[in-house]
Order: sequence, then structure tokens, then C-alpha cells
Amino acid sequence: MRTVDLPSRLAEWSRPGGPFDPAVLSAHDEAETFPAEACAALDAWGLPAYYVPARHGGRQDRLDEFLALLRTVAAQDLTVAVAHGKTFLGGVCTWLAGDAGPADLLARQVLAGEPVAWGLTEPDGGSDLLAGSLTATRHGSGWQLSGRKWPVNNATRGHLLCVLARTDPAGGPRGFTVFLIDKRATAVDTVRPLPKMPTHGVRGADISGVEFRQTRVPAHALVGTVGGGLELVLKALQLTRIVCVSLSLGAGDHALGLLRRFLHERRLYGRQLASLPHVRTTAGRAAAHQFLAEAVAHTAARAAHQVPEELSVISAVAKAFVPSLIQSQLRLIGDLLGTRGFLTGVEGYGAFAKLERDHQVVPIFDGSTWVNRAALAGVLPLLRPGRRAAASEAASPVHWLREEHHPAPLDMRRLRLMAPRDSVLGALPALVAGLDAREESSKAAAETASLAGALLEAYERLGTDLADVRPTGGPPSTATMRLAERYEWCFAGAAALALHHARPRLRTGPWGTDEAWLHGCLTLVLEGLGRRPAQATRTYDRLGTVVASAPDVPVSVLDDRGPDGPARDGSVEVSAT
Amino acid sequence: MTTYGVDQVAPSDLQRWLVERVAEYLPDLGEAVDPTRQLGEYGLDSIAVVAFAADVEEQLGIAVDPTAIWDYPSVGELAEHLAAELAERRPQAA
Repeated sequence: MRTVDLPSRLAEWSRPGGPFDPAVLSAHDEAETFPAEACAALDAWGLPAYYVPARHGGRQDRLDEFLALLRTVAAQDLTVAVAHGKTFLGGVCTWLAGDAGPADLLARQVLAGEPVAWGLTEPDGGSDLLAGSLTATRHGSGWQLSGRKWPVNNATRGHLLCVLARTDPAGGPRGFTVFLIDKRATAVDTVRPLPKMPTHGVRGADISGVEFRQTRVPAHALVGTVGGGLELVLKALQLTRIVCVSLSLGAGDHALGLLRRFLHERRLYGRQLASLPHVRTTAGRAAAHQFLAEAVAHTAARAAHQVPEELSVISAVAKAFVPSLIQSQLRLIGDLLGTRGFLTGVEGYGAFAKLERDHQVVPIFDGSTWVNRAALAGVLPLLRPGRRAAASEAASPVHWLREEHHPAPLDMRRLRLMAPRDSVLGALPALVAGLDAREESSKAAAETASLAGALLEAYERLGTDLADVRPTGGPPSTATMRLAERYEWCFAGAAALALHHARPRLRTGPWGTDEAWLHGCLTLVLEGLGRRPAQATRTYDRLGTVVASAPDVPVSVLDDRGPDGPARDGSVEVSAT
Repeated sequence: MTTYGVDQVAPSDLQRWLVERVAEYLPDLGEAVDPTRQLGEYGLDSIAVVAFAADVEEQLGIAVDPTAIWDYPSVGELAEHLAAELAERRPQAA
């Protein structure tokens, strides 16, 4: 499978003078210019094909695989991943609308390397999509658009722009419609770019805007149905929010790589840095952050295929939780790097300050952490344990997280605005019961059972507290937001446990021996829930020892791209017999 | 709280029950919910609509997407729509 050669190509391109040469990318960052060479390299490699679903002639058929690809790019340079990956975001509405819209037309353009922007927000509109004032009115057989979209990633460079427009002057949930605009096919001077915004991170990205002035577009610019825009966008966001978290995973990879180099090079008091216990435990905590982020991201990506009707909850959890988790991880790593994490001119380490700045955009776009957490908070009374019937066994994450499991094709018609249940967190009691039934009676297994038992208790406490929450209109209270946060931690713990159950491979190897990675994840979760386990320091210390002493072992429970390993979990192509 | 099975329900009963449910989401309203007014006018935001749809779905045992409330935005219209759906006795979709 072709995807496996992306990491080696990226390594090639990162050599001095190459399109991903860190010096070239940091020069772009300083000058706030677009990383055009790196994006061109990704185009030539064929990344755009992964933005197009297989049924429209592209190569995108597995979200977990796509997340892994974008993560690899993000681990090299987050600005490039943001600048290139936006085409995925720009396309989703059109794929969702299916054959009723310009899907084939868009597919041809994207496959030819044409970038696509996604314009949702407007000046002064915040995240409130219903506040949009860009208007589309019927004009002859087509439409006429007037208004602004801002800020929009790639609004100026992109010829194609997917926008949400008001088609009913009264607005409301049925008052908006999606259009796919080809700027090249509009009359001169009717589409004007709004200037690129100076930004704290991703400084080279084209974060700008666009203004339409009675812009006429043809009838086939309509995506989906008139009045179906809000529904389309809300469903598209369920997928894009999951994809966005791959950017956080990549940032975590990048930072962990710099940390390992530092641990290897830096000596203090005549000793290797990793011989200091504080350094080891902090490095181990950082690794646990990465594993937990992976567990949530990977579970969400597989869930998109298996339980798409639950994505309104699962994508909100993933997007609220993972970028925040990685922000904490970057803080830990920044503390260890000390001066090197702050200075931009120290060879090799300047990258940390840049990636930390770049990453700050991830918790914001595609719905901020607050927006996603509020969406979760609003439905919490419905997610109370026991309120809904448990999912069937086939819907259990243990079933669809198995390595050899081939996800069903993504069926976007199954997306719903309201999840009937949450199969991941809903599986927690069964997952914990499964641990207790294990035959092995090692010390590590006993510790896993004890940590998982504590998590189950915390989940039950959450259930009790949720019983008092009544659904209300309007923004959720601070107390309810805090419950949503606890829900996210419990979800993350359940995802890690499900992965542990589903993949026996994760019980061996540097991270799996003595169930070390799982202990790290569960310890972090319990800390997040205010229940720090007594053995936390020892757990992190063990992980930190591997971080420092085995620099070639990727800090990942998903990565199995070793020289003899399969391409990527479960994605080995088997020829038909 | 009344729980309806999938038996036939008169739109007027359903409407009365929906008015009670909506009122629960609007504790500060201080007046009865008018079944002819659009729910959006009461400030029932998009997140609350999702929760409300889930509530109704659970009670009635039929799939109720929040978009049903978008398409039938007053309690009266929604009651008519749901009564028709119940009459078809559609099993719950998920």
C-alpha cells in the first residue's frame, strides 16, 4: 500500500534544500509566507487523492488510515498539515450530499490538485452558524451571493470555496444552504479576497477571507437541498472534528521526538538527563498523554465507520478532549526542554516553539473546545448510564477495534444530529468485567484491574451526578461543563481499555510489557478525574525509562510500521483468492 | 411522566404532553407554551432541540431526529407529525 512510503518521503524532503527542510519552513513562518514547496510535494505524492472518497474516484476509504497520514505530515510541520489538509474539510459537505450535488465535479478538481476552502464563519458571528448573514438569492436559473466569510483557511489561494449561505431571509435551521463556488467562473470584481490575518501560530497559512458582491453562480453550485445547509454542515463537522485531532497527534509526535533528542544530548551534573527521576516521570507522563490521545482519536475514527449514528457525541468528545490533552503534553515537554523550548535559534530545537504556537489553532478551529464541550453538555442527561439500552455486541468497540477488523465503508447517510447512545463509554462496565474474568493473575494484570475498577467507580459517580441534571435551553452551566469534562475523561479511559481488549499485540513489546501503556493511560484518566492512583509516579517512571532508553521505539500504540510489520494496523492488502 | 408505547395516540394528547416537555426545558418561561408558536421564539437553542428530540424519541419509541423539529417547528405541527409517524408504527431505527 502506497501510504507507507509517506514517512520515508517526508524524511527525504526534510533534508537541507528539500521542500520540508525545517530551515525553509521556519523562514516561511518568519516571513508569514505560504509553504508552497511543501504543499507541492504533497500534491505530487498524491495526498489530494485521500481527500476524495473511493466512490468518487479517490483513495479515501478508511478514516483511521487518513488520520495516520495527516498525522505524519503534522509531525513534520503543523502549518503544512493545516494548509494542505483544509481541502478535506472543504470537500466533506459535497461528499455528504452525494450525487445530488457537484460531487463528481469536485472530485475531478481535487484529484487534479486544486485546493478547496470551507467558509462557515463570518465577522462577528463566532461559532453561531445561524447568525450567518452571507445571503444567496435565486437569480435566473442560478443564484446570487452577497456577503463575507471570515476567517477562512485558504480563502485567498483557493479557487474553490464551499460556503454556507442564508437562503431564507428569516434564517432558522432550515434557512441556510451550502454552495460550492468556483471563483474562476465568477464575473470580474464580484469576488474580493479579504486580507490574510496575522496569526500567533500557523503564520504561513492563508488564514484570510472572501467577500461576495452580487456574485452570480450557476444552479449546479448548489450542494444538497435548499434549506438543508445547516444539517449538512453539522454532519460534516462530525467527520472533520475527528480528522482535526490527527493534527494534535502529529504535534505530539514532533514534540516527543525533540524531547528524546534532548534527553540523549543534554547532560546535567555530569549525568544523562534521564537519570534524574523528575525528568523520567515527566517524560513518561508526556508519553501517556500521547497514548491516551491515540486511543481516543483511533476509536473515534473507527467509530465513524461502525457507529456513525453516534458521532455527534463521539466527535465532540474527541475534538474537545484530544487537543486539550496535547496542549498539556506540550507544556510538560516545554518544561523539560527549558531554554531550548523557548529559543528559536538553537539548531533543531527552534521547532518546538513553532509547533507549540502552531498547535494553539487546533483547539480553536472546527468548533472550539468550549463549543464541543457545550454540545456534549447539552445532551449529557441523555447519556446517563442505564438510560439507554446497551449496544449490541457487534457495536462494541472491542469488536471493531480489532487489528484485523476491516471497517465497513463510511456510510454518511447514517450520520445523525443526535446520538442514540455512546457505545464506547457504554461498554465500560463490560470492559472492566472482562478484566476481572481474566485467567492470568500477574501483578500487572492485578494493577490494571485495580485502575479499571477505580475508573468504573468514577463513571458510576458521574452517572449519579448526571441524574440531577435536567435538560435546559440556553448555554450549559459551569457545573454541567465540568460534568462534560468528566465524561470525556471516562470516555478516554474506556477507549484505552477497549483497545487493550481488542489488540493482544499491545500486551507485549516495550510499551505493552506489564501493561505499561495502559497503566499510563488509566493513571492519567484517574488524575483527570481527581483520583490520582498511589502508584502514579512509578507508572510514569517506567514509561519515561522507555522514552529515554529506546529512542527508536515510536511513542505510539498504533504505530506498527516497523521494517517487518504490516503496513498499518489491519490495512495490509490481501489479494483476493 | 407519561410514557407512550407505540399505540395510536391522538394528536391532542400528544400535543398536551409535548407542551409539558417543552416547558421543562424552559424553567424561566413563566407562562404556558403556546402550541402554535415556533419553538425557536422561546429561545430553545439548537443544542436544547437535540436533547428535546432525544427525549421525545425515547418516550415515543420511534426515531425522532432533531431535524423533525426544524421541519415542524411548533408544538402543534410536531404533534401532528409524530401522531402520523406513530400511526405508521415505525419501529425505532437505532
